[in-house]
Amino acid sequence: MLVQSIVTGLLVGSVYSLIAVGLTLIWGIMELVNFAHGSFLMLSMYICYAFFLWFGFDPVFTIPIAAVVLFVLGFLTYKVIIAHIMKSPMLFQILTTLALQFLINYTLFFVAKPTFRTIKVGFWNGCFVYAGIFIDKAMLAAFAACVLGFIFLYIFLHYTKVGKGIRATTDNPKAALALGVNIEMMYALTWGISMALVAVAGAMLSRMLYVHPTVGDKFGLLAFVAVALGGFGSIYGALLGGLIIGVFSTLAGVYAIPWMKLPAVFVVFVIVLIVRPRGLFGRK
Amino acid sequence: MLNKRVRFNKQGSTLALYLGLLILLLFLPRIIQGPYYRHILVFTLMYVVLAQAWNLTGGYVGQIALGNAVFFALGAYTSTLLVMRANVTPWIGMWVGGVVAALVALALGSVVLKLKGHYFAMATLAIGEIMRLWFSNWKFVGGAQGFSVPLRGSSWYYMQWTSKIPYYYIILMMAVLVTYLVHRLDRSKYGSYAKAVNQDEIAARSRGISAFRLKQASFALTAFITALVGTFYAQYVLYISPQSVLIMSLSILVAIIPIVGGVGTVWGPVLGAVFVFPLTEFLRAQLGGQALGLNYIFFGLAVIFVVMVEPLGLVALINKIGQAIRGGRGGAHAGTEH
Repeated sequence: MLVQSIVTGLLVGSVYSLIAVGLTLIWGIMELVNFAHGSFLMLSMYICYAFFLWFGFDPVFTIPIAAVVLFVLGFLTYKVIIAHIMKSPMLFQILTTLALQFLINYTLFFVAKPTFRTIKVGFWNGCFVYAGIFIDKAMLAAFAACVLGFIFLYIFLHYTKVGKGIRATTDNPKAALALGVNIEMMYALTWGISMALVAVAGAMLSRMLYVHPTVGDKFGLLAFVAVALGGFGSIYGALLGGLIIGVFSTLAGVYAIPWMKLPAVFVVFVIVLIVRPRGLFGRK
Repeated sequence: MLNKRVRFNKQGSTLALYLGLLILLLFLPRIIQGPYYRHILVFTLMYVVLAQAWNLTGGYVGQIALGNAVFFALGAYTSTLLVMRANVTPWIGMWVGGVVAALVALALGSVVLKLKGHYFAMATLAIGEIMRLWFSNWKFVGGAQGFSVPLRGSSWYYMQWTSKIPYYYIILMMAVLVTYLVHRLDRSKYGSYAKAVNQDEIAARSRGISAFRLKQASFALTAFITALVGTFYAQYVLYISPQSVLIMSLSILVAIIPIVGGVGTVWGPVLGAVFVFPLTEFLRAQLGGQALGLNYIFFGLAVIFVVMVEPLGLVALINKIGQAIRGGRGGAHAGTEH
């Protein structure tokens, strides 16, 4: 039972990690918390739903489409809105991304109606047993997609010119600017990449959950928790934080009361924020 | 001629303006007929009070609370439980709920208010979700289904009426009193301390202001007022559930309204609610039942617009227009400055 919970937790946690990494990228580079993060996740789920509805696509095949669409959306969000509030007081930054959440969620309410929708495809249904442990096929696919997402991100950040530019801007924007890095572009690209990562996570979640305009909010909050656990701005911290939440919430669900799963995570979140605001693995 | 007199008797004319506004508000339900329009009036005023309450902590002290639904729900649940289980009139339950919410705010605040900026915002958001999930699974408070307040027809004791008019006057009274309270606080020592803490906490503390106490006091006051409205809501709608009084969008909405109107000002929350609610409801009525969520879309756009174009909100916009109308040259100068 314990091993089972840990395995399930790690699989679920990988999805949380991917969402959290997007959030921490933005935080790291511009000290801004994107409260609309979960809404972008929800958007990706709707894109998958639409492609399933119209063409019968399995969400796995919609990943590239969703990633591109959300990359563009993220890029534009920065250019059109976020770029103008970078120098505003924190209050306005927080409320702008919150307003964005409102805008996206209720636009979907308006367009898609608050109906609970499901993507039912035969591909990867059920689960298989390995050494006495049940592994859900959809979850394993999600895990695989998230791992691939991380690998892509790692290669991108470490071996491409743009990726290096983003890392340089995160470390020291002024020095990066002096060295000729177009930091405005780096900010916009970070938003794009962050949203593309969210798109991958959303696509994988879309066949496990009901698709609904507010489905993303919970994941947005969970991403905050993962980021807080790992230390704000730290990519590996967010990765680890997501896995910890996955395991912790599964264990809490199994060994305590099922509905306590999420509240337990949030309680830990508040405690971590207060006791160790730099996160469990944060350095600063 | 007229301009001079207006400037001369500025205080007198402002007072006259407020009195005129009050009289208009008193007769508004006679002018505006029909339950639907009166319902909009009641809801608008309800959000005026909720936004004023949020503004005390978010606008003045600068702690951006995103979990005010917790206090709203505490008010609603306390008075409803009291009337259902012990037959206590909501008129008393209201104050009990307020005190409960204020105490919870003090307890939570003693820990959470140490956080700043994003951290405080995220922590309060999480607390709201904890409470929603908890109440959704707690049988004693009705679980996810919540409660229907038992119907008693029109009764003062049970604070419920079949007509909307008594509700209107109750919430109007609350809106006027709370706005007056904020106005007084704004001018008081408390107000200047709060603004000082908001602008530069370290400097304020070095001048001997206990920033933490101030934050706690305003957080408790925010909770108290929010809970009073919670009771009002429960009595008005006569049904409460975690999905109606503990949702995240309520917490966010009460934070967004003051931003649209003008954050950290007395009239910001009023203008924000009055400008946006009737307008969006009107839009919704025009578009019919299909336009679900349209008012919130409008809110989202309004905030983004305000933050990008006029961060001081409608209050500043109206001041500018007022200046332009009042003094030809002076107004023109003020206009070109920006």
